[in-house]
Amino acid sequence: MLSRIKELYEYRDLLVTMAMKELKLQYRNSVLGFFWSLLNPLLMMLIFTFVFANVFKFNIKDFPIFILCGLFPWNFFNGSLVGATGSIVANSNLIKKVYFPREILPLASVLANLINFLLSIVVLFLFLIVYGHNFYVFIPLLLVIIFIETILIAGAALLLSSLNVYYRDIQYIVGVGLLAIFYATPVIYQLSMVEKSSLMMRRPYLMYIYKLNPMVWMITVYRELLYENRWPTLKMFLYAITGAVILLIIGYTVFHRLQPRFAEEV
Amino acid sequence: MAVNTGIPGDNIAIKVDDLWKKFFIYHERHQTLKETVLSMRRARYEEIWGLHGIDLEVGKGQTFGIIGENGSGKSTLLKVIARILQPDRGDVSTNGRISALLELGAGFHPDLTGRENIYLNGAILRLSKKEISERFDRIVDFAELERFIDTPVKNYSSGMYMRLGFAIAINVDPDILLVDEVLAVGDEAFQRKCLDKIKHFKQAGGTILFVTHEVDVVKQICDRAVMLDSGKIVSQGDPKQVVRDYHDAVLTTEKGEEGGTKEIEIKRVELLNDEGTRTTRYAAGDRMIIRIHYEAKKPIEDPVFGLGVFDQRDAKCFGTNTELRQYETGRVTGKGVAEFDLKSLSMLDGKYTLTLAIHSSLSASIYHWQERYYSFEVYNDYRDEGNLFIPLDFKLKPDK
Repeated sequence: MLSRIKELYEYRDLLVTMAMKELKLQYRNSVLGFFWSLLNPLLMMLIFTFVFANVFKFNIKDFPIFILCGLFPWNFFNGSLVGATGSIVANSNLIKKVYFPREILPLASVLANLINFLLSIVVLFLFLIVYGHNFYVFIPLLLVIIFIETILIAGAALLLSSLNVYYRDIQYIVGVGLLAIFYATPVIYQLSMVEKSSLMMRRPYLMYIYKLNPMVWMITVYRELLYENRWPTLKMFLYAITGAVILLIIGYTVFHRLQPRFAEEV
Repeated sequence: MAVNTGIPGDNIAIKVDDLWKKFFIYHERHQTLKETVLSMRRARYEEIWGLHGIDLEVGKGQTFGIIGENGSGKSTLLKVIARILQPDRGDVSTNGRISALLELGAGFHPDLTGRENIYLNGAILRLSKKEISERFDRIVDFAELERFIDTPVKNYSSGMYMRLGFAIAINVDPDILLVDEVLAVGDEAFQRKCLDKIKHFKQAGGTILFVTHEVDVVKQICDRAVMLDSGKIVSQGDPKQVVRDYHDAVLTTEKGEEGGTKEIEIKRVELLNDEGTRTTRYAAGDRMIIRIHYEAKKPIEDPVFGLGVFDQRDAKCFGTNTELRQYETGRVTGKGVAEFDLKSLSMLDGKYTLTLAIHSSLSASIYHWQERYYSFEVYNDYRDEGNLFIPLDFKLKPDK
């Protein structure tokens, strides 16, 4: 295990080069190029704001900020997993012809999306400043939660990319699954709205299941820090870390169980 | 199980120890969850042992050739050594940095420029960014792509693509180079350039493991060789001897039959090309010399030497003998050599078998016959169609 990590470290240049390749290719031949990765969530923000603040009359202040604080971390999760799941199958020509640590492929996808995410955070800061949110003291904690989310995503990426080599359905399931998780995560609504909903009141066990989703705690922490501008509770952090570490262990174990026969199966 | 990169001893570059590799041939494959869940039994498959307890030692600075027919396991062996495939049993240990030329330009991305692909491919071959920058000019120079280096490689010709792939792999400055058939591609000038570069690498003390069909190259550049058959080593040692064994194995078919009184016996047969080297692969229109080493137990008057060529469907393409062609053989005693010199093989691509016979005039008694005992292959560079290869010229004379 330690030697694997050491080897991964020796291949770090490949990880970065692969991630940069993905970013370069993503917007090649489009006029606005890289700006799409910022423009896209901003347009989504406009749509959600229109629908929820204006049509459904959600009573949430600074609704655009509220949405962006959830949407950017969500897009990091969503984009990474969509990219990573097919990454090994899509690079079958490489897998069959060259040796390198196979983890590089899904992880490069995660890294590319992380870079996108960090840039979008900068844009988010501009919005926060304009809306007069006082978030500066929370920046160190923000970096911690970004790190934790990255671990969570890396675990899921390893798991899904290796399973997809054996069962190609995974890439289709991921599409629908992500949509389900999107609604099971407080991205476009508040956690308190779920807690107070009549369904959860009547069936409290549903709330336990809901809270098993680590993304609930990720998004909640982001929102506490950037939108509410207050310290998240220790419980939220522990939930998030536990979920991330468990997923990384599962993902890593499954990946290494399946990895030896990748070159024969892709 | 594990492939260690430990140090197997100072003078050894690659050590392969009792290596076994199993493949699964699926009869019905579950590639979706639904199939796995719905079918009550497991996927049906057969196990095939691709490698059968291979032991191998390649010394530092050696050029080592691996030959064998298709499916003999030679590429599998190379891939296990390159760590692309994992063995089921046994160990591979290597000493030094490995670069594998398994497929030139594997991993090139068509939308990236030549420059970007050099950095990407270099990183795949474990070079740091700095190391690639140091080698960048050398790579571009070798590939002769100065003018096109900022063009996406999808616009490259296949030759340019190959040149760039080779240039990157060879300039990794590996200690051990694994080469698989890659020299069979590209134009002749490029092949020569690659071969030169490999010879340079060899002179500089690099170790090369070389898998190929072109056994003549093995004779030219290898210090040692092995021949694989069905995943086992069947011959090893001096490349000349191994290549000879290879030819004998390829030449002899499995379904051949033989018989006769053996008063004159066909001891050994060689197929030669125009340059007098042994081969079983000919281009359409090539010259083929069939050299028969015979031995007569007692003096025989005017024996007739005959031959027949059959195609894959066992239809006779051609047959003749020395009597039909009115060659006198006279009194034959002891050992000797009889040669048919076929000036031009007038057939198109395919596998052919050869029947040889020595008999008396009008086949009154048959001394020795070997029915479809030997095989050879014809390929055709022009992709002509039909059964026959007819050499031709073409002229165009427009009216003035």
